[in-house]
Amino acid sequence: MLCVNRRVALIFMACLVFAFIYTTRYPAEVVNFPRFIFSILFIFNIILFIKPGDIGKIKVTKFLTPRKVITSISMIAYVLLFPVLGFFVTTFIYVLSYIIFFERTAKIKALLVAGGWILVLYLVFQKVLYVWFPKGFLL
Amino acid sequence: MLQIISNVFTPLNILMAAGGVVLGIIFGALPGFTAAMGIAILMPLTFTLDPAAGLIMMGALFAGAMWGGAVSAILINTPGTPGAAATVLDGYPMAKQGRASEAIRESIFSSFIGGMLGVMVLQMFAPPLARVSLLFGPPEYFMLALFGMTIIASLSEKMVIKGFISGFLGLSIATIGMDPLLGIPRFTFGVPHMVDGIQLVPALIGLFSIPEILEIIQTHGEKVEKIPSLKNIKIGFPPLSHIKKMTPTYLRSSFIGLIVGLLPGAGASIASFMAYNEERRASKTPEKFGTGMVEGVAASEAANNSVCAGAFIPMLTLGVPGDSVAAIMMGGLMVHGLHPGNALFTVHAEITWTFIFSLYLANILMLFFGTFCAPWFSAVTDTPRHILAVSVILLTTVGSFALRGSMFDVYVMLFFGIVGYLLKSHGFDVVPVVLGIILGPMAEKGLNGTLAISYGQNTLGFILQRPVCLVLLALIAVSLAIPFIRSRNKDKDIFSAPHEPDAM
Repeated sequence: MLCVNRRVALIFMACLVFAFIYTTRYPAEVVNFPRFIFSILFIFNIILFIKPGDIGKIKVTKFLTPRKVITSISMIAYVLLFPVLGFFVTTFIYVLSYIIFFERTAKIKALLVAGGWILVLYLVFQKVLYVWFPKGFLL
Repeated sequence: MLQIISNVFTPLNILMAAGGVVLGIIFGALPGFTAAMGIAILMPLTFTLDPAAGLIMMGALFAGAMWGGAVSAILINTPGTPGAAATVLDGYPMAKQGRASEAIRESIFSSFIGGMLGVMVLQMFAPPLARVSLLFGPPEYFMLALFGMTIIASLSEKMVIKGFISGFLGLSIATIGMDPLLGIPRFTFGVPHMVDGIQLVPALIGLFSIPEILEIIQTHGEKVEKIPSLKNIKIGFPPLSHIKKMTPTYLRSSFIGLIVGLLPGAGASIASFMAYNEERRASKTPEKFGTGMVEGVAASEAANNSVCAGAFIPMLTLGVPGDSVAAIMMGGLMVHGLHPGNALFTVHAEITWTFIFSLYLANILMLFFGTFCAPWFSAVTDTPRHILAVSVILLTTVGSFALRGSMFDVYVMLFFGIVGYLLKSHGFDVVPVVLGIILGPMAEKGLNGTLAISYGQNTLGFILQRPVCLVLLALIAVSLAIPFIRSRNKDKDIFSAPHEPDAM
């Protein structure tokens, strides 16, 4: 089983090979600099592969914990729902559910924080800074 | 000069400076929240403001955060920012001895002195250095970009080779978008939004904020030290006799901070440790350092605040940021159409000088808020971390969207957030990535220009004939040698990582 750094180096090298192949679709003058950078990056990854050092074990269950996965997926879902539900509705639901997830008894606090943020974002961004947030079918 | 000073003291700019300082202190004081994150989040909000007002707010946040880190360093043995790492060594022992007020008072005052001295040097040396930038042609800019990459990578806290990989990864990302030579879109994969390249601000926000948020979420509910309430801390100013006694410490440490700040990538943490070590060497009782010596706190804090101004010098004059925060601020400059170099001190002189003089105001406000308003910050430091985390998520999302009103920038922010988290969890620094994205266009234009100018000649020979290039080449050689020197001092292979725990 390869150590972590070697696996990382292999992944980088595979991506760089793909990137190099991809550069063939462009004129040579356009890709001189990217190829120069990719070559040096490839050399660095070879060095990392040969001398990976010792960074101990990285347990996937530690860097992909349930909380981190849930937070990441919820952030992605939050962003993807903007055009559907609208920014303000999505934000309200997101903040409310987020706080209740971590503090199940704090429903009033969650409502106040979610409502407070909606107000601040509306007043500061839409009214003062004229940043118009995506609208969905609700708001 | 009077015009500039009157610009600084407009109600809007005073409000920006005050707001920036307060936010900076909060971000600095909360472990897990950094000055870089604060500025990355704040930057999009400043786009609709006047450029000077936006820069003032960001500079003030930087200054405030450099002191804010000392609060948690002293009270809970956890530096709020990397620059306060050396403050822990004597600050926390002082707090344990019941001298927390004395430690915090010293940290504010020495931060103020360091900050003010730093701005004075910035004011004196930035214009002549900006004129030196007129000697820079494409070969010099290419070498300068390489120097920026090598020094930041070689000073990487984790494995040096990973620092180089991160930096060149950033350079690779910078090649996405329109090619500067023929205007052909590169690596866009048919996505129209990518023709402009990867926008720096959303990438910065993602790289700096999302990984930290994920770590904060992970520690929710665990036994994490909460900052003791600041309500009972009484501060005030140190007596004049104490200030006189500490003057050599302030001057020495501020000077060290300035020099370190000038070096691209050598940030506040290096400055604070160097100043701490020098203070210990200069002391008559070096064996007492680490047991609660106020000089240790003063040295660290004066150095980390003078780094702010030091980092701005190469950023404003040569376009090479001296610190990760300066790197983010450079992004802010460029978004406002202000490009580093001599033009900043000629065409845009009013904005630049207003920003520089506002740093004096920021330091004065930091002294005021830190001395008289510390108890009020309890309201934020007492807020549960999951509420702070969701607030940061909102601000990062909104900030990314506010840049161009485009959802694509939010997707970029999320993507880079995940990339940043994966990089950090595998031992890569994200600061070199950011620097690579910033320096990439400079490096490419420099290389293309050099190849064009030296057409028909030996390019390397052409570069070696230019004096500024030779100086930069020598600096690159030094920066590449630094890891080997450090490894000899630590008796370690440069390819081995410092001890990394099993859990990431």
